[in-house]
Amino acid sequence: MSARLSSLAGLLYLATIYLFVMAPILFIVVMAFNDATSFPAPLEAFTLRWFAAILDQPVFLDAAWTSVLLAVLAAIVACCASFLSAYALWRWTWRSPDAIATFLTSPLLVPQIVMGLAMLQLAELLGLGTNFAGLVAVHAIYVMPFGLRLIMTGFSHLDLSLEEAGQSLGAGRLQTWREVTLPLLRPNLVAAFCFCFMLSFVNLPLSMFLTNPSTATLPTVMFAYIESRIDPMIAALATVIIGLAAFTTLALEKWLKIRLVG
Amino acid sequence: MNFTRRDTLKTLGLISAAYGLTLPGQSRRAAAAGQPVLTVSTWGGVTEEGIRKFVQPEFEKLTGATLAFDIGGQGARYNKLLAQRANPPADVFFSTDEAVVSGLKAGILTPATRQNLGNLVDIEDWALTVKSGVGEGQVAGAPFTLISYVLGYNPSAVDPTPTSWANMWDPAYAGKLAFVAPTHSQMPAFVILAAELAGGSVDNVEPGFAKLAELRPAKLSVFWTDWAPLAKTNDVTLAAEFDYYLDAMKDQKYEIDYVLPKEGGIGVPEYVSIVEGTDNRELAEAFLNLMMDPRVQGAFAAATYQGPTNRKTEIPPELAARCACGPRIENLRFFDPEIFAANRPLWTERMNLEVVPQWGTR
Amino acid sequence: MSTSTSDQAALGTADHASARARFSVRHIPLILLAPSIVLLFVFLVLPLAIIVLTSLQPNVLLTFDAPGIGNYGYMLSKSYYLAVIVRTVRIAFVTTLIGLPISFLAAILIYRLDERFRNIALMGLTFPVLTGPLAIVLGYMALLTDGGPLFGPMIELGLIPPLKLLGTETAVIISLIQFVLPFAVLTLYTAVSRIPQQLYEAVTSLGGARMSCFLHVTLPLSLPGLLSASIICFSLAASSYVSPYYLGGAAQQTLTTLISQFILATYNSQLAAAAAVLLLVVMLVTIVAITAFFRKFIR
Repeated sequence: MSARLSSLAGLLYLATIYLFVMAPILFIVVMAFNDATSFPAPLEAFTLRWFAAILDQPVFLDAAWTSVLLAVLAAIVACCASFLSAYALWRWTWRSPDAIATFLTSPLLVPQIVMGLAMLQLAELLGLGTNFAGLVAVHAIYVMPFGLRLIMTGFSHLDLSLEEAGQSLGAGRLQTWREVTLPLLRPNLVAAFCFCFMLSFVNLPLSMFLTNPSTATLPTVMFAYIESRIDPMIAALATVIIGLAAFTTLALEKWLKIRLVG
Repeated sequence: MNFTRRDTLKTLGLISAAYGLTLPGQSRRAAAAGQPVLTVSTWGGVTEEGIRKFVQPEFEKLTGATLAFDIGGQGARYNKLLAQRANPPADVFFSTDEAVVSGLKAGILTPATRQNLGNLVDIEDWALTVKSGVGEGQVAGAPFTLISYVLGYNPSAVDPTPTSWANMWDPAYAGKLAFVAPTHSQMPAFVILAAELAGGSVDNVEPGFAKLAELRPAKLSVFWTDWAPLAKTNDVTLAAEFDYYLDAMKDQKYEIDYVLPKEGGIGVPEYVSIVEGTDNRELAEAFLNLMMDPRVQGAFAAATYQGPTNRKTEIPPELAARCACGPRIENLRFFDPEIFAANRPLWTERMNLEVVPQWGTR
Repeated sequence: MSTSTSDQAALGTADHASARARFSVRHIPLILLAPSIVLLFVFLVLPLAIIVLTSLQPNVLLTFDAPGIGNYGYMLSKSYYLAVIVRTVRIAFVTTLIGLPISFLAAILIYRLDERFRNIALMGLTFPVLTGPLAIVLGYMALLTDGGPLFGPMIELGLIPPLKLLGTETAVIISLIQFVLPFAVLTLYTAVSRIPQQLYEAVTSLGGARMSCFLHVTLPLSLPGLLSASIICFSLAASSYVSPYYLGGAAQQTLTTLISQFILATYNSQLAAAAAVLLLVVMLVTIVAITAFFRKFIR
């Protein structure tokens, strides 16, 4: 395992995996440039008009921004809460850590469509409307188990003595976190944030009931669109999202030095 | 690194929060400007676009108010109304006639006053299918369009051309048929149609379930987009579908054409109605009236092939051949939405338990 | 001057620390857990309570005295619903069973890539997820049809018989594996990357080959990660909506599409709630089983 991957078999395997994961996406990207009126369709001519068509629909741009905002906020809330909880579970001995951990990851178990509807009913009971803050909160607890799992995995590899060392040298808890714990956990934290962002961004069932005209998310708008139209504009939209995601990843890596791995 | 992670996140978080409080959104902007807003609960795609293009400018000119849209499938939007009675998320609601019946019964929709809907007198009689739940001088809502459910087929793949709903049972179409899913709005119609084909009637639908179990669909659809890719690859050659979707498919160069079966296509008026508890009743009624305006209906028909309900609407002959209007209406059968609404839960259950398992892995 | 302030600071910190130490042991962990617990209580426990209460109510299809378990009795007595439950578990299980080893191997291999490529490799795998299951499923609806660009030419050339994949469980599973792969690889990668290099060197120096390294180092130390990844795979698969809905269709219902049917088509929130509780129980039981299975090997 210490040798660098040079074997052809290994590279071929990875290439196959990538092909499998990317196949439908490559297909979509190709279709996005297709000068045909329906999707999917045999390739006819190259065109950019479906990308231009997106600009004609401000509802998509608004929804995309809402989705990004929602996903970022939900991921931040989820990761902060998860970090605090995972830390508490790791640092102190509890009678039944598994039980607490299971409770904290229990949102995994509730079907999202039911969660959405139940949240709607709860909001009505409490006299609240459906607003952005509520949407963020619901998304946050939906993604929290995934973030929590990743961060807990990270803590399980962490040596308690490192923290104690930091504290015995006079560092306060916050400082220890900043200079010892968080750097060691960085890969897990970044991965957790990405997980949470991704899951929130693409989520449909949870948002279906909780959006109102000013908080429509991209998946709900796309879902509504393909009920009556199935043209390459959806493919163009997906392509734009991939492009933006790739760009953001590169930007994060180059400028903010936030990388997924060490 | 000591700086980067937490502080970047913090900054991002602050920026996002700040922006979050100033979310873009027409209703917010409008509300901030003091302009009244009418929230329209409707389907996305062609319907929403049609309203934005043909109705919104007129509406804003007429009332000085603007529109906000809550889009989604009918089921999700209906549930939102059910769950938010005290604070309805919309002022007007687009739906099938059956949903208007259910909505009035459930108390989430409210009738409109006839007097305030000037265009109502020009609405064809066949469009006013919702008669219950309304008092004197009231109307359930505004039927603003007529669409019909017909038999679509691939002309180069089928021979002879189908002529009847009974053709769906032909062995030639086994495994090549796109049929309604149990959740489709027209499922009850097919229960009745199948019953009649099997010797039953609307009052005796028992033979209908057994008859439906004999079908061999390739795909169960709720929207045309569920089976359209399969039509492209000839995995589906016969489909029960709405006429205006089939016309759109023709425009998009699908190999498709359609007929009205000899038993009659299914006539489906679509309604816009007023949500119970709305604060904008006057605006809502103005909107309903505008949806029944002949010019609006003409524009809608030209853009989406959905037929008009106002008899004063002018439809050029080429368009008339492609939508549910004019002579086609004589070949349409209108079902009583009360029967649909009353029986849907039980029939959906029976479809799931008795019929769909017989349809095998499709 | 600076020394005395830092001395004072050190003393201050020490005093502070001991004072806090007395306070902390009991309170701080709870304070740290508080945000999650409050969030969960308001946004999970309360809605769940609503769901459970709703599931005990009679509805348009069934009349019984409320609150009662009539809905559960009804659903568990119909072979159709039992088949739906079994199908949901089966799909999620198969997805996990296939997805896990594939992802594990991929994670290991990515870790062995040159450092420059690792980040790109992982990112390349994960950000396509952002296109969303909706667009991807539309892509699959084209790719998996017998007349589509993938199988069409192969069938015409006689390489494979017509597969009729669309509308089958297989199609759903394929798309689910594609969906969970990035998440599983990411999880497993963070586990694999933590394994100290020295352990491998120790095994190799003792004469062990690659398989020994794997069996004695990688696998045991990745078990927590494998546990997480399998739970994530199973949960994502069991609660997915878009794939079973579009690729499976109405004849291949899972609990999620069934629930959506109850909610969206027949407005039967009571049966929907009962189905939701059933899904919850199913997932809970499976996750507990998976955890127990792994725990046997971890501790």
